Amino acid sequence: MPRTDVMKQKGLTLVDAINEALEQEMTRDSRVVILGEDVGANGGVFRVTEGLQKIFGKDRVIDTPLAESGIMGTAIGLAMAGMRPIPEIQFDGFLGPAYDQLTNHAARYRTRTRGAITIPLTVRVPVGGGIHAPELHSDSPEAIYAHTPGLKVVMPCTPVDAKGLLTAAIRDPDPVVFFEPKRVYRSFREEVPEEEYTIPIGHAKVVSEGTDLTVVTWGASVFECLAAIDKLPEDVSIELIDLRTIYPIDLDTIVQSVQKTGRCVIVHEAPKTSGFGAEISSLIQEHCFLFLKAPVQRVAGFDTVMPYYKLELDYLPDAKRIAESVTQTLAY
Amino acid sequence: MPRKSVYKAEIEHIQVMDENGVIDAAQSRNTLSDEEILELFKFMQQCRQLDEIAFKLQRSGRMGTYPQNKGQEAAAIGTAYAAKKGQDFLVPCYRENAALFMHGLPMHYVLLHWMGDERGNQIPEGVQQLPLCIPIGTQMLHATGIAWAFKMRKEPKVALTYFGDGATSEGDFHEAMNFASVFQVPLVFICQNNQWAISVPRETQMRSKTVAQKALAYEMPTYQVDGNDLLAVYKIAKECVDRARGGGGPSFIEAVTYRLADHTTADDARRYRDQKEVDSWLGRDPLIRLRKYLETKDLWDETKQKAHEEKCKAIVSEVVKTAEGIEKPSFDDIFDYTFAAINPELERQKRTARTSSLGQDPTQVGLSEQPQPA
Amino acid sequence: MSLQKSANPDEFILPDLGEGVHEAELIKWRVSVGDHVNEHDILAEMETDKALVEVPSPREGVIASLNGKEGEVLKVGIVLVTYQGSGGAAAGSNATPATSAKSQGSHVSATEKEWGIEAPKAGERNAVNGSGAHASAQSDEIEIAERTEDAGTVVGKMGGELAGMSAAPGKALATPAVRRLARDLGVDIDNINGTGIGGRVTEKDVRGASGGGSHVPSRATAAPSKSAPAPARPAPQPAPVSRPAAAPSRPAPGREEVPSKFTPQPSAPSRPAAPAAGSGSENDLRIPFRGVRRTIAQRLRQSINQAVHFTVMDEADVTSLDTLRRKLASASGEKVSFLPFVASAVARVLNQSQFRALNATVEEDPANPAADAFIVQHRSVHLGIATDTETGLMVPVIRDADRLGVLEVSRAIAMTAEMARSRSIPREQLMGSTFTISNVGSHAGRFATPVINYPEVGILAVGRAKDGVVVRNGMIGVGKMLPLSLACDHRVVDGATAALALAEIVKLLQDAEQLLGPARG
Repeated sequence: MPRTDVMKQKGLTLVDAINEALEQEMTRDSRVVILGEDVGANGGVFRVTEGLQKIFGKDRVIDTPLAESGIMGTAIGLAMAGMRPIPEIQFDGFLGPAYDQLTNHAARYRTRTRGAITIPLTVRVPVGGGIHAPELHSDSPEAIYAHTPGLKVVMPCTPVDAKGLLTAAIRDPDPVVFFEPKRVYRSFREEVPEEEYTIPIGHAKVVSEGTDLTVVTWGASVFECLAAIDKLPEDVSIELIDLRTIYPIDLDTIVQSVQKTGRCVIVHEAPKTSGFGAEISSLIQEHCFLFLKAPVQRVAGFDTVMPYYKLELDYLPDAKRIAESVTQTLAY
Repeated sequence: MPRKSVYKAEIEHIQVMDENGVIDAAQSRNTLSDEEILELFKFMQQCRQLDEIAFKLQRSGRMGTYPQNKGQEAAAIGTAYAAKKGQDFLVPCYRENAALFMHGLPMHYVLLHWMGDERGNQIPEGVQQLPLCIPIGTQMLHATGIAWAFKMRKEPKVALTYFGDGATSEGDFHEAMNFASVFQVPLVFICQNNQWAISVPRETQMRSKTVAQKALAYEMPTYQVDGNDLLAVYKIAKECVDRARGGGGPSFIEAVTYRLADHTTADDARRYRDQKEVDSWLGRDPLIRLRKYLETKDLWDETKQKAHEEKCKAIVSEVVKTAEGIEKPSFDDIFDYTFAAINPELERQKRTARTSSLGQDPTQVGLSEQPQPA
Repeated sequence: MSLQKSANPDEFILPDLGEGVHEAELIKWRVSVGDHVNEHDILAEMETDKALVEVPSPREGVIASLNGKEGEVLKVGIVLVTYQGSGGAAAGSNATPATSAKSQGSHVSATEKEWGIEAPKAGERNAVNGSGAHASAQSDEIEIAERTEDAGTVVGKMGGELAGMSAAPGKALATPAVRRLARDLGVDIDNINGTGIGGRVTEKDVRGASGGGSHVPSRATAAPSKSAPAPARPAPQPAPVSRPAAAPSRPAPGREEVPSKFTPQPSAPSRPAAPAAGSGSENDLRIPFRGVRRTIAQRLRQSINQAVHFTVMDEADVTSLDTLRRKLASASGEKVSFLPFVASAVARVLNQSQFRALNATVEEDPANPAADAFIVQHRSVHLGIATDTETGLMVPVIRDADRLGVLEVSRAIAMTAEMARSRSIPREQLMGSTFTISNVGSHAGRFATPVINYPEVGILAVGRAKDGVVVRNGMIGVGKMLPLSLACDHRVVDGATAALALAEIVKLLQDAEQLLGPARG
C-alpha cells in the first residue's frame, strides 16, 4: 500500500512500520502468510494488518477460529511444510494456550530432529501496559520466552527498528517471538526508509552515549528512561541502551558500556523477580565485576499481578522512579 | 412452529475380514489383492519382531523406556498402504511404527529415539514424516498445518495423522479438527482406539459411545472400522485419502483395536486390566486372521512361517546391531542445533562447558582479553 | 536412568527395569549355571514397584555365575549374571558383545577425549563391581572437590574479603573498582584510612596512599635484554606507605588465597612457607603476581614459547630527519617525535611485496602442534604502538597506518596513547594489529631484544636517539643516531628478509622527505 500524505510528511508510526514490513515481505516471498484472530477483514484489533487481506487475499491473510493453540500449532505445521507463517496472538495475556506448542515444539524441533525439520515462524504479540485496557492485556512476558532455549525474542520500540527487526525475524530460519509495545504503537512518528532493510537480531542500540552511568532497557520503558534522563542535572552523562533484542542478548554492548561507566540501572515493566533484568544484572556482575562502582539496580514492575488500569501507572516504572534510581546509583 | 430436525447422523462400523480370516464378500470391494495381503502379512511380522525385540532390549538394559505397538499393526499398515510413499506425509504419535517403516523410515531410527539419541528423529531427506511425538495430542495441529500448506501450494499431497483414544480428550485435538474442517485441508485423522490410555479405559476417558462421532461436530466424514482387519482399514483409508487428494477435505477414521502389551516398559497393565479382557483380544490379533486366510488360499504354511520367522529375526538382529553400533553423539550437539547459527553466549557456554567457570575470567581484564569465538 | 554397561562383556549388570527403578526382588531364576543361552532368552523373573518383569539376556553365552538368591532384593547396578570366558562368546552369531564393548569403548574414550581434564572414566564409574565401585566413587568425590576449588565461586573461602560488608578490624570496605586499583598500584588497601561512606576506602584514598610512596619506575631494571612490548610492566615497585611491622613475613591479609583459586597453576609462589630463614625477608616487598601484570606475563611466555625469536639491529642516521621533525613540529604547533616517522617508514616497508612476510600473523593452536596452522599475510597494515600505562602495557592499534601521512600518524599515536592511559580506549582499538612498534625502552639504552606481540611475526623496538659518530663520505662526523632492533619469528621470517627490511627502514629514515605522505594513497 503506498504511503499516505501524513506518512510522507511526518513519518511512520510503529503500526505503519510493522504494516509496511509485512507488506514488503509478503510481496517478496510468496511463502509468507499471516494468520490470527481478526487479522484479515478487520485488519487486526490494532489495525496493524490493515489492508493486507485486500492486497494478498484470504489465502494469505487468514482469519482463524478463536484458538491460540490452534493458531500456533497449525503455524508450526505450515512452517514444517516450507511456508513462512506469521501467527498473531492478539494480546500478551493470551499466550497461555499457545505456550505448549511454542515452547514444546516450535522451540525444540530443530534440536529434536538435529536440523532435519526446522520452524521458521514469527509470532507477533502486542505487550506491555499503559493503554487502559482490560485484564490480561497489559503484561510483559518476555523473560519466560528468553528462558526458553530455541526461541529468539525481540522487542523493538521505534518504527525504524520495528520494520528492520520484523523483516529480519521473518527471514530468520528459527522461531522468533516479536513483541510489540502497544503503548507506543501510535505515540510518535519517525522517518523510516521506504526500501526493504533488516536490522540484525541480537544487536542493541546505544540511544545516547554517556560516561557516568548506563541505563539498559527495552520496549516502552525506553521512552520513560529518556524522560527520566531529561530530569537529571545537565552535567550528568547517561549512556542509554535500548536492547531491542532480549535473546540472544547483546552482551558486548552492555559490557563495553558498563566497563566504561562503572554503574548500571536496568528498567523493565515486567515483575522484578526473575525478570530479564536479573539476567542482565548477573551478566554484568560476571563480566564487569572489577569495573563496578555501585551495585547494579533494577527499576521494574512489582512481584504482583499487573493491576487493572486505575492503578496501572502506579505500577509501571516511570520517569520519576527511574531518575531516582539513577541518582542513587550515581551517589553510591 | 412445529419442531423440525436440523441434524441427524449415523456411523457405521466396517469389517471385511473377521477374526477367523473369513472375508465378507459383500464388503470386499476395493480392498487388497491376495498378493498384497501376502506381502503386507510378511511385512507385519517383521514389524512385530522388531517390537518384541525392542521390548527385550529395554528389559536387558540396552534401551530406555519403550511403548510396544503389539497388536495394532493392521491399523498402521492398512492406512499407510493407502497413502503414497514419498509423496503423502505421515504425522505419528508413537504406536504406528509399521506405518513409518513402510514409508521409508529405517527401522533403527525408532530404536535410536528410545535409546536417548536425537538422531533417531533426524528424518532422512525424502522421507515424508515427522518424528515420534511425545506430548499427547499436539501433533494433529502440525498435521493440519502441513496439509494446509499442501493446499495453499495446490500440491496433490495428503497428510495422515495418528493418535490414540486418550488424545481425543486434549484441546489441541479439537482445535486441529476445527481448523482442518474450516479450511478443508487434505488430511486424514486416524484414531487408534486401543481402549486404554495407560490405565484409563475408554469408558472413563469419554462419554461418547464411539470416538468417530466426535468428528460429526466438525462436519467431517467419519468411520469406525475394525482396526485389526487389514482389509477394512485399507478400504476406508483409501477412500479418505482419495477424497482429500481430490479436494474433498479431511476425514476421520476410528480404528478399533487393542493394546496387547503394557503402555510402555515402565508400566504393568496387570495392575488395572483384567487378564480375561486381554485374553479375549489375543484371538483377534491381525496376524492370526491373516495367516488363516492365506493358509486357506494355500499361500502360506508352517514351513514358510518358520523360514520367514528366521528371516525376520535376522533382519531385526541387523537393525539392533546398526543402532547399537552408532557412536555416542558429540557433546557439541547439545549446542549446535539450538539455532541455525550459534550465538555468542551459547558459544561461550559451549567453549567453557568443560571448565569450572562459565566464561568468567577471574582476572577480569574484560571481554576483549578473552578468546573470541571464530 | 542410565544405561549401565559393564566394561567387561562377561558381566551383565541389572538394569533399571522401568523409569527410576532402584531395586527388584528376584522371584525366580530361569537358567542355571552352565546353561547356554541365546541373546534375548529370559534369565530371571524379577518384581519391581511397578511391575513383574522378565529379564532377557543381552548376549549369547554360557552362564558362569548367578548372583542372587530367589527372594532376595537386588539393587540395580549390581552384576546379575556372568558369562564364561571372553572372546569365546563373541564368536557367536551374535556379535553383540563385541558391539557393546565397542560402544562402551567408544563411550569411554569419547568421554575422555571430550573432557580433556581427568574426569573419572564414565564407564568405570558405572561399572560397580565390589571394590571397584568404592575406588571410583571416592575418586569421584576428590575430583569434584578439586573442581570446586578451582571454580570462581570463592566467596566462602575468601573469608568475606570481597563481601566487604563487615568492617572487621584490618579489613577495608571498598568497591570492586577501588580494590582493583589498589591491587594494581600495589597498595595494601586494608592499611588505608577510608574517607568514604561508612569508612569506605575511596579511589582518592588509594591514589593518595600510592602517590606518596617513593618508587622509581625502574625501567632500567626492565632488563635491557627484553625491553619492549608486553613485558611485565616492571612494577613501579610501590613501597606501600605504611608497612606495619607485623606484615613482613606474612603476605598481606587475605590476599594470599586469591591466586591459588584464580590461577590455573598451583600457585605456590604467593603462598610460600615462611621464607628461608635469614634471607632478609623483613625488608622484602611481596606483591601478588596476578591481575593485568600476570596476564601480560602469560602472553609473554606464550610468545617466547611459540615464536622463535631472532633480532637484527642497526642504527639510522636521523640527523636530517631530526631537522625535518622540528620543522614539522613548529609548523604544525604540535609535538612530533621520531615515532611517527618510524611508523611511517615501517608502514611503507610492510607494504612492499618482498617484505609482506613481516606483516603477518600466525594461526595455530599452541596446545595442538599437529593441528593445521596458517601464516596469514595481511594486505592492510595495522600498527600496534606499545604504550605504557598505569595498569601495564597496552598496544593500541593505528589501523591502515599505510594510508596516513606522518602528521596524521603522530596525532593518532598521541590520541590513542591518551585514551589508553585514561582507560577510555574502545576495545576494538586494542585488537587487530599486524605489526608492532615500541619505543618503550627509548629512555635509555640503544639496542634491545624485544618480545614479539604474538601472534604477529615481527616487532621493531626503537632505542634512544643520541648523538654519535658517523662516517659520511669517508669523513668522521657527529650525527643523531637512532638505534633500531627488529625481532622476528624465525619460523616465518628468514634472516635475510629481516635484515633487508631493517635496511630499508633505515634507508627511509635517512631520506625522510618521502615519509611525509602516506605509503599508500
